[in-house]
Amino acid sequence: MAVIEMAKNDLETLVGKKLSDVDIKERIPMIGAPLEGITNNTLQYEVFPNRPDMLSVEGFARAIKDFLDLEKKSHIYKTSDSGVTLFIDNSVKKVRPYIACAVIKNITFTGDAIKSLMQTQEKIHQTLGRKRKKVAIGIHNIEAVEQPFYYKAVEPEKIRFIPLDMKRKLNLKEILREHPKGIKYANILEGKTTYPIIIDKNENVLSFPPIINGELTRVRNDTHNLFIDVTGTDEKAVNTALNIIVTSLADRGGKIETVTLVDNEKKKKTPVLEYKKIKLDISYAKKLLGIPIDEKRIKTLLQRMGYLYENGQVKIPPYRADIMHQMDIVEDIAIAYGYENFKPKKPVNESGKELKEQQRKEKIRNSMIELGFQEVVNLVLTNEDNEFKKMGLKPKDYVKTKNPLTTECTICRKKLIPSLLNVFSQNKHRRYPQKIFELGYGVYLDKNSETGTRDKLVLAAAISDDVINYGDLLLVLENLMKKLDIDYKLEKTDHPSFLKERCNKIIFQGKEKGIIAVINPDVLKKFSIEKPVVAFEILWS
Amino acid sequence: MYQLTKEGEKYLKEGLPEERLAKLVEKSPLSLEECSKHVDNLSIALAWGKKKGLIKLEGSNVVFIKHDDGEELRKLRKIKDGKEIDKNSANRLLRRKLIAEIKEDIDKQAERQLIYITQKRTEGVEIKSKSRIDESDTPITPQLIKTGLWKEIDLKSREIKKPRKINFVSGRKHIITEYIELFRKIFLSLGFTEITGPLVESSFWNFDALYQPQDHPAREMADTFFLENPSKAKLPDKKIVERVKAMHEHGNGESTGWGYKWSSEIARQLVLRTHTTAVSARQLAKTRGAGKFFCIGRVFRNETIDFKHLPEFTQIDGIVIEKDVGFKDLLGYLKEFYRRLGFEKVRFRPAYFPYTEMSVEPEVYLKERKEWVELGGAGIFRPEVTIPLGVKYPVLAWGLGLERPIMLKFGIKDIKRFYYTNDLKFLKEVEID
Repeated sequence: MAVIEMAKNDLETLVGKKLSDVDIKERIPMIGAPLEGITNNTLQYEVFPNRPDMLSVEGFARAIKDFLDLEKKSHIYKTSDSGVTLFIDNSVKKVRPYIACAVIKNITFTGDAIKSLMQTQEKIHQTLGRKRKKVAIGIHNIEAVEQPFYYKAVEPEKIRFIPLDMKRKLNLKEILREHPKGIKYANILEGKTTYPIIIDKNENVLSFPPIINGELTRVRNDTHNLFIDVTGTDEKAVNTALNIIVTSLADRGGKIETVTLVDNEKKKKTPVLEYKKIKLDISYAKKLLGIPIDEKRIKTLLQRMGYLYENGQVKIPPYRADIMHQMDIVEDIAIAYGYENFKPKKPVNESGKELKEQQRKEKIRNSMIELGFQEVVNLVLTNEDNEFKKMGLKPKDYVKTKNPLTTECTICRKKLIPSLLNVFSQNKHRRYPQKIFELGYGVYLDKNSETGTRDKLVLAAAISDDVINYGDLLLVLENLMKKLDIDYKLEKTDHPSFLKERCNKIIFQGKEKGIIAVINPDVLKKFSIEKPVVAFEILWS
Repeated sequence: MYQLTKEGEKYLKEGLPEERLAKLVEKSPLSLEECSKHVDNLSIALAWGKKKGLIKLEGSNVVFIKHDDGEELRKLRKIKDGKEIDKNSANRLLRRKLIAEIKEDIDKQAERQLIYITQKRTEGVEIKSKSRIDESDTPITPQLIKTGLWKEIDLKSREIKKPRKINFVSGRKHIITEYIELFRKIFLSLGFTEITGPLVESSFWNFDALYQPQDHPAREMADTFFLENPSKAKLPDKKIVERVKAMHEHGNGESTGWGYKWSSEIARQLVLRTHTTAVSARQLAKTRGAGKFFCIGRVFRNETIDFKHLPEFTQIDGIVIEKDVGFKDLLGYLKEFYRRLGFEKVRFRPAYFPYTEMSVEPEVYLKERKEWVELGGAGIFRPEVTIPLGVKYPVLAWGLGLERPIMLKFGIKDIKRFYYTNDLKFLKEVEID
C-alpha cells in the first residue's frame, strides 16, 4: 500500500484553490484515494497501484484538479530537443536492458518541490519499480557533467567513484558491501558478473543503477537543470516512470527536453509524451454502468478523469500506465460519475444449493454439541513440534511451507488432537471439566491430485478433568455414531501418543477411520497439561 | 443435636464398664473369671480399660493402674441435659455409639431454615457466607416446599440479582461457525450455490487465472506461503493455460495484456491459497452460461502472530455470472448482502484489485462507533480474467474476511482470543444475537 504525504498548502498551490474540509474528506477520496491521515498542514492519501501518476504530489494535484472540475483544459506537455545524447552499449543488454532519459531545464526548487520529487522517486521505486528491480530512477545536476553519456555494463572492480552520502571513492563491489543502499538492493544484481553504469564523456560516473548516484551530480536547492535516467527490466514501465517524473517537474515550472538514445544504429528520443488512443464502445459502457449517458456526457466525464475524447476514441495521457482494456476507461467513467450516484438494483430472492458435505458436517457438529462439547476452531498451520514430536511421533509425509515468517507455522496439520491439546494447554485457568471438539480440515499428501494434496474433514473430541473415564468418551462415541447411523467397531491398538491399555481403533465401512484413547501422560507433559485427557479423532473423508 | 443411645443411657446410670472394672480391682488384682461375675460386658470393659491405660493383664489376672478421668460421663450428662458439646468429644461418643444424631423432623428443619432466612434479612445482616440459601433470590428449599412453609418467605425483601452471563452447561458452536452459518443462509436465500476448493492451491488458480502478473507484489514471498513439499502443481487443461498465458503476454486484441514473458514454472508453484477467489476462478472455468456461486473457507497470509494478525482467516467470496448484469447489479447485491448482515447503511468507494474493474470498497456504518468502516472488496471481473476461462457473461464478484466484522461487532481487540487460544470462557459466554 502506497501512501503519499503532502503539505496542504503545497497541494492547494498546485490545484489553485483552497481546499475545504468536504473536498479533503469527502470529495477527493472518491477519485479512489482514501484519506489515510490528516493534521493541520499535512495530508496523507493512499494511492492505488493502477495510478502511479498520482504518487507525485504534482500528479495527484493534476488528477484532482480535473476531478473537482477546476480545470477544463487538457494536459499537453511539449518537449524540445536538448541536444544531449546517450549511447547504449550492448554490454548492458543482459544486465539491465532498458533506459529512458530526459532533461529538465529551468526548474526552481522552492518550498516543498525537492521533498516532493524525492518522495515520488521513492514511491515509484517501491511500487511500479518493484523495489527498484523493475524500474529505478536517477536524477542529476546536468551541469556537473558533460554529454554525451554512456550506459554500459562494467566489471565491478574496474570503476571507482564517490557515491551519494559518502566521502571516498569506492568500486561497485565495495558499494554493494558498504553503502546502505548497496546493502539494501544488492540482491537485484545477484549473479551478475558486470554491473550497469552511466558515465559521461570524461568517464565521470552519474549513476550506478539501480543502486546509487554519484555525489558529483547531486541535486541541490539551487540546481536548475536536470538529467534524468530511468533504467529497468520492463520497457513500458521504464517509460511510464520517466513520463510521471517529467510531467511532475513540468507542473513545477520545468521545461521538458528530449534526450537522443543511440542503440547501435537505432536512434530514438525520450521522453515520448504522446497521448495513446483506445476505442470506446459507448453501448458497452452504458450496458455495464446502466446509466443514461450520451457521447457529450461521456466526453465531460472523461475530461474529469484527465482524458481527451474524439469520435469514439479516448486519448490517454502519457503518464497513465494502467489502461489495458476499454473496461479501464469505463471504470474511470464510473468514478467521474460518482459511485455514490449509482442506484443499486435489488437482487431477487431465490433458493440456492448447499454443498453435499454440509449436511453431514452440520449433523456431526450438532451431535457433539448435544453431547455437551464446546466447539473450538484452530489454525490449519502448525509446526513439526506440535504435530509430531510432542505427540511422540517422527515427522513424516506432510505439507511443508517454504518461507514461513514464524516458527509456529511451518507445516499444515493432518491431525486435530494436537490442536485440541493446545487448546487445553491455553485454558488451564478455566473451569473444568473441559469438553471440546473441532470439526475441521487436515491437509494430506496425495500424488494423484492436481495440487499434490487433499483436504480431509476430521473430527476430534476430548475431555480433560481431574478424574477422567475412558468409558465416558466411549459412551460419547457410541451416542455420536448412533445419531449418525453408523455401525462401527473398536479394536485394540498401540500408539505412542496414547496409553496402551486405553487405546482403540475406530473401524467402520470396512476401514480404520480413527482412534479413541487416553493421551499418554508423557505427551501431556510436553503440552504442559496437568490434568488427564481422553480423546478421539475420526477421519471422515 | 444429639441424644443418648440405650448403651449411653445405661452407662450414665451405672458408670462406664472400664471404670467399673478398674474400681473392682483397685485394692487387689482379680482373675478374669472373678471379674466377669461383677462386671457385665467384660470384653468391652477390658478393651477400653487397656486402651485408656486404666488396667493391665498379668497372666489371667486384671491389675489396676488408674481411674478413668470421667470426661466421657460428663459429656453424656451434658447431652442428657440438652446442652451442646464440642465436636471432638461428640465424634468420640458417636464412634462408641453412646450417642446418636437426632433426626430432626422435616417440620423442624423447614422452620429452622425459615428462621435463618428471615433473620438474615430482617436483621439487615450483611450476607458474607457462601451458603446457597444466602445467595438465592428465591430461597425455596425442598423442606419448605413440603411443609408449605415457603408461603412465609418474604420474597419482596430479596433482591433479584441478574447474573451478567448465563453459565451454559451445554456445548456450543464456535462464534466463527455461527457467523459462517449466517453468511451461508444469506447466500442460499439469494439463490447462490455453495462451492469449495483446496487449501493448497497452484499459483495458476490463485494468481495467474485472476490476471495477477507474475511479478505482482502480492506474489512475493513476504505475503504468500509457498510450499517446499509438495512444491509444484499440475496445470489444468492446456487450452485454458494457453489462453491465460496469451492474455498475460500480449492480450487478445481488445486488451493489451501485461506484456511480459509468462512462465509456466511460476504458475505451477504451490501456495497456501491467499483468497477464496481462487475457488471462484476454478468455478468460472467450469461454468458455461449463467450461475451464482459462493465459497466460504480458510485462507492464508504469511504473517507473524499478534493480537491483530493471524496467518489464517476465513474468507467469503460470491460471484454472479449473468447475461447483461452490470455495476448497478453489483451494488444491489452488495447492498442487500450487507443489509441482511445487519448493516442498514452501506456506501461504496472506488478501490483497486488487479482482477476487477469498477473495483469497489463497500463501507458500512457502525452505529455503535458512529463511523464508516470498510468491509470487503468487490468488482466486475476484468475480461482478461473471464475470457481465457471461457466465460461469456459479465461476472460480479465480492469478498470479505469473516473475522473483522466479528471483531468489530463484539469489540474484540485480540484476534487470538477466538482463533488460536480458543478462550473457553469467552466461547461459552459470548452473547450472539
